[in-house]
Amino acid sequence: MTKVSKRVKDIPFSGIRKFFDLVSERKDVVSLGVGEPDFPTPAPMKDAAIRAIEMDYTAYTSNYGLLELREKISEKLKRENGIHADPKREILVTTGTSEALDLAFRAILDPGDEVIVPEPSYVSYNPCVWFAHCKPVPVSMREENEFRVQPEDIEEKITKKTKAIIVGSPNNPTGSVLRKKELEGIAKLAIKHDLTVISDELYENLVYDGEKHYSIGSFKNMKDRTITINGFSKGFAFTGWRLGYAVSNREVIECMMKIHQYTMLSAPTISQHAALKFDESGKYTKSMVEEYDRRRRLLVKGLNEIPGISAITPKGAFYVFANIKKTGMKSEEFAEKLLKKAGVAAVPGNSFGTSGEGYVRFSYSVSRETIKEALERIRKLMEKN
Amino acid sequence: MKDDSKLLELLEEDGRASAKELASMLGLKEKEVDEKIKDLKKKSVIRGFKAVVDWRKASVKKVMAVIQVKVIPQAKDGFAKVCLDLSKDRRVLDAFVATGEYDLLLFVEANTLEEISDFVTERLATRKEVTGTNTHIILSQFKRDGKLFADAAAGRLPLSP
Repeated sequence: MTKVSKRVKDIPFSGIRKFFDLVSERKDVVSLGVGEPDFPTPAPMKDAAIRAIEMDYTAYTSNYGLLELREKISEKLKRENGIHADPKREILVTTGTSEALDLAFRAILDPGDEVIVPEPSYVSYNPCVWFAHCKPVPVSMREENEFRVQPEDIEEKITKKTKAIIVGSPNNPTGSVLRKKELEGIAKLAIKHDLTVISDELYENLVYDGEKHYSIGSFKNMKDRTITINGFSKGFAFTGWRLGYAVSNREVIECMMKIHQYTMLSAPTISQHAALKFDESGKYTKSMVEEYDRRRRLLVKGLNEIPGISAITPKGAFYVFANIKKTGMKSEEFAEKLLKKAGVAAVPGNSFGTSGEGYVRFSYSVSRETIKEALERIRKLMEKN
Repeated sequence: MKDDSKLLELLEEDGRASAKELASMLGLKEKEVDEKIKDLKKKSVIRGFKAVVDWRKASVKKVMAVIQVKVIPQAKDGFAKVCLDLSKDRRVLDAFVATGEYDLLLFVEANTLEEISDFVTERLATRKEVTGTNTHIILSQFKRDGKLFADAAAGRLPLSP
């Protein structure tokens, strides 16, 4: 019998995974637990993929990814993010943003280093740090700050071992969008303490109420100490295509490419050809964002009318991180009750770290009808109590 | 009226959306939405509300046909008169004056094939302006009034990170 690595064994499965099995056992579940768009991939991107298959564009690409795609990404970064990146040496196309995240940590960390992780956080941040034999150090994002991480809270956690800070804005699971001032504060800390900022900007297109997304890598003296990771999954309904990218200085990208070269070779070629059309697909993104906005308003209003639940209005992504502390229940207990008694699936907040205790993540990347049905079911359940 | 286009789009998608829901999505007050809808109805911008029924799912047999109708060239509002007159038949769901080889386009729904046949032979063939018809019996429907009639959406995970 093969013995598995003790270190890997000790890393827990994602809390979402655990809950997933419960949900799968039930029929007639209305799910607000999904973290992916329910729109189809934009037509120009699909057409490009079909054409790529027909043209036999199915071989490996350069380890860095198709140069044409990197050039388009470079133009986009200049235009939309204010980041100037050399397409030849400072951009790496990856198999999903998840891979970019893993590579970023592995490229900059040595065993024993610490990474500051604002919590509640995306489920992969901590495990990726563990896989790199390092220690994630949580910093709470608090509801009174609308879940925006505060630079002074980060500074408290900086030690001699701190190597990097990871920032996810717009944020999964809270929907918060960091303000320019807060990002400037984080940049200042990074410069002062010689830290790297890993900036996860996957949800950059999904912002509402006139909120603006800023890229910390565009700030003064930050280009060389930022690893910007992004992808097409959320903005272009592109999840299953598995395509992302990382942007940083030449040395970091080279190191990331080295790992990528030996473990992944290159990102899926057909997906890369599809992604070449991302700059023609902006109008699809725009109409998606308009629809998400309508759903967001509907869900926030509906949740706030249910006794025991309160939710601040999120400014980005497609999640509402609702406070359920008044029910007196723990996150998991609440989510389980919701599932078993009302047939509504949502993700318990503690899946995103201990700071998520007392909250539940509801996604609005589902139809308005689904949102209304879920709200109705939750209302009925809560009014019985 | 342009101000109301967002509201109208939402209602066109779901005529039963409550004023409260609509208000929250549009950032308006519930009362404002109520008043707007009342006004739009009064001005006949909103012609009505109805259910989109999948009769096959209800196990009720219905026959649908698209009928193209050729009419003797008419002066001025002649086509409109013929079209309006035919629209009065309860079996006619949609009626259009259109370009092309045929002049009118009718969507007809009935309980039996005979009723469709009756409509063609009695209502259309007997009119002296009508010079020809072309009837398409619908075999299956996939979308109607903006609603998909197919059930199988690609499977998404019920929960994902």
